[in-house]
Amino acid sequence: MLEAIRKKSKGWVAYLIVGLIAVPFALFGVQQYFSGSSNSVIAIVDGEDITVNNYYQEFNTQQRNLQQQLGSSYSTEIDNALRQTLIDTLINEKLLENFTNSMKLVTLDEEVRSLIQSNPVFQVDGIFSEDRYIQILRLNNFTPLGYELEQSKSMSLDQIKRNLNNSAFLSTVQIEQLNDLSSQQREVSFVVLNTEKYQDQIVVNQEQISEYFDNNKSKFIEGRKVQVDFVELSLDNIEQQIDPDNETLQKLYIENEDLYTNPEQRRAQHILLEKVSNASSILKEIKQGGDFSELARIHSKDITTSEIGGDLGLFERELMVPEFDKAVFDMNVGDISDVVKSDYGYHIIKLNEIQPATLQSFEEVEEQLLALHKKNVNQKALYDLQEELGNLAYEESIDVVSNQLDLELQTSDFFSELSTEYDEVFVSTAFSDVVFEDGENSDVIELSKDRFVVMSLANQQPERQKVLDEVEDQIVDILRNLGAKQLIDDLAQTISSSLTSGNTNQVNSLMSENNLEWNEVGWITRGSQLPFNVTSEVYKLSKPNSGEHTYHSQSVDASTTLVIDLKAVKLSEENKNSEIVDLYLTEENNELFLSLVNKLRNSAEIKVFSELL
Amino acid sequence: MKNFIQVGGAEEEQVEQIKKWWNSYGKQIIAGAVIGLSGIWGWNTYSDYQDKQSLNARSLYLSFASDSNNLGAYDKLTTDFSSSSYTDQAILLMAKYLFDAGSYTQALGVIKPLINNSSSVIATTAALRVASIYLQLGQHDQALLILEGQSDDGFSGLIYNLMGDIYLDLGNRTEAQKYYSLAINNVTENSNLTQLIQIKLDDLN
Repeated sequence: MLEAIRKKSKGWVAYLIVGLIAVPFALFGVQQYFSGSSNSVIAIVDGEDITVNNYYQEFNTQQRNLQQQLGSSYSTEIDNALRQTLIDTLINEKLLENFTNSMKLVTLDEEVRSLIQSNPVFQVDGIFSEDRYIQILRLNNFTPLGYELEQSKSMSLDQIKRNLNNSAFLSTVQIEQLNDLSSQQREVSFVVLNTEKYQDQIVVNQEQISEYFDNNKSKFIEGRKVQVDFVELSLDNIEQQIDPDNETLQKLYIENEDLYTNPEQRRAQHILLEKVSNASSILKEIKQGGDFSELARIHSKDITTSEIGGDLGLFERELMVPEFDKAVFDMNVGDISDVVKSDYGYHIIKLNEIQPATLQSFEEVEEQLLALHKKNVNQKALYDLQEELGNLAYEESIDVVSNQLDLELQTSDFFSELSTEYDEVFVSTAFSDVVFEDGENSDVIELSKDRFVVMSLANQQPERQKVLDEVEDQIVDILRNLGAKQLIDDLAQTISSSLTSGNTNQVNSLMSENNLEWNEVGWITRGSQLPFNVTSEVYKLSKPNSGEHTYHSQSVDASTTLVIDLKAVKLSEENKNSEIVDLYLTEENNELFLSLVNKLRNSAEIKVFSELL
Repeated sequence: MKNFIQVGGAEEEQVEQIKKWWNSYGKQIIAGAVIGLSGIWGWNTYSDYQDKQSLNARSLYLSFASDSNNLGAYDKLTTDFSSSSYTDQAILLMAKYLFDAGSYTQALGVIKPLINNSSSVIATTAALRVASIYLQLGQHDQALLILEGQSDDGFSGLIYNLMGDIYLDLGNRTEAQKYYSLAINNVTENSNLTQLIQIKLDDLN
């Protein structure tokens, strides 16, 4: 085959072809060779690649955010779920991108501009600020062009949804059906039956206990436990005579001037007003010689200071709302400000005094310097020792470590993986592979800022099936509750059917024998908040004919059962809301969009390399 | 490679060879390069033109979406950009405007052809809206006929839901229940509509 090409490639036709082939290579080939090894692919959607790079860029950001939000409850399951969700999202984006291209949907520059300008994040005092925009983008590693391209792309992806929403409408019939549902009220009362009162009546025999135990053995397993030997290093282990000379402290003083400087403080008076027009007229009055304190007393809405002429006392920077702060620290003594707007209203401010920043003298802070010096020296010694501990623990057994560093060898109690007796990190280290499986010393773990521990496995106790004797009391409680639950379920059922058949005498005697009473709720709406989810249960019941009731017994949890009496249903005129139409159209449109995505997904050829996730 | 540069020849010989080779094949290479380059240029120009057309269509669509009286934009779309998907979407808008103004029959006339649109999402949307207009006109049979004719099962949750509404209005509770249940089973996973349809269904208990 190659031979054939070679032979044919001697003719002039061949050179024409070479010329044709060479052009695209010369123009497009290069950047692909320079983009390096980062091109490995994590998924293929209809022949188009989603790269590992692309995936991890997004993943790392989201993982960081989630970890910050969830802290230590960020688990492997959550991590896996995040990976799966993210790859799904990227695939959907790719599908939508192809769809958008095939429909030739595009986003205009002015659409992107108006989206960005209306984003409150980029606004200062409700107005778009170019400086703030650039600053926030820089903080998030974006150039304006890059950010705008990304926005434009994502606006194109869900444009079909917005376009279809623009043209959505609802027939009068459907609007009325929705209104009838949302304005429907129901009159209701209910009885609550609880197992608590009946548990003592339940007799449990030995046979039932054994039977329950035999059928539910897996519920009575004690998890594995460990006991560890450990040494602890803390500031207490460091005993040093520290007696620094004057020169050392002087040096420390100079290095830490910031710590011993009292910041600049200013004393100001203000008058707070709700309306800008009032503020302007009072400002005018002051400028014409009006007495500031007197005007504050009469007009200021800041009731905590108006009595004392609006005096706010001395304060440093950043204690007041930003607009106020800025105004005060830009003024000179004796100045009266223009009207300043803040979240509280409109201020007129008078600056009365400036106390400049002052540095405390060496003598004043000598004690503090000595303490600081000691702390520094001890900290340094502690960290040196901690490093030594780490090195030694890597090579020697825990008792050698204890001897050589003169740290007491301690032994823990037995504890399980769920133990709260010890620090969380202490427990998880004890069950880590290094300590539990390999039997080696742990790394140095930091329990708190100044406490370090190295541990080693002393004893372990494997997972264990508990025996009947240990759990008998527990099982008796469970069986009593189950028995009592059956009893109240039956009771509720009897009351409900007696009510339905009109057997009032039986109902009354059952109610009084069991000390039960009706909770008369009256008329409720779908939004009413009632205990035990009564509202949603009530709206599932069939509507009674006029003059009749619907009765129903309903189990709500392991210890509660209800009897519900639905007395009447009506439509309320006042409860009509027009929002429901918009809400419905939005949801219907979302559904249309999601169906579209599903459909694209089902008809696409998708391959995911899950091992790379 | 041997056929155009003889290895080991003297330098002048090599230059001579290259000249000879160029004389015989140079024209073809230049021609090839020119054809290749103009192909790329042509393609770029064509896609630039396409992009520009899309942007123009988007701009006209937005004008009509923000102002129902801007019939100029609508007419330009339907005549100059008749194959653009923005034209289909503008027709959907026009149907809404006509519906809101009470011109139901006219709205039907405008939107009905879209039921056969090549894009399934446009076609389904059109079918749902045509059925709604028939419902508005009290022509329940027509409305059901349109919905029953929908063969695309990707959107069946929405179709069944509307059929439930139509049967409910006819007073046929059994059929309404049947179609609401079907709707719940056919909407997308975790859809927010599920709850709403469940409320309608519970109300028929």
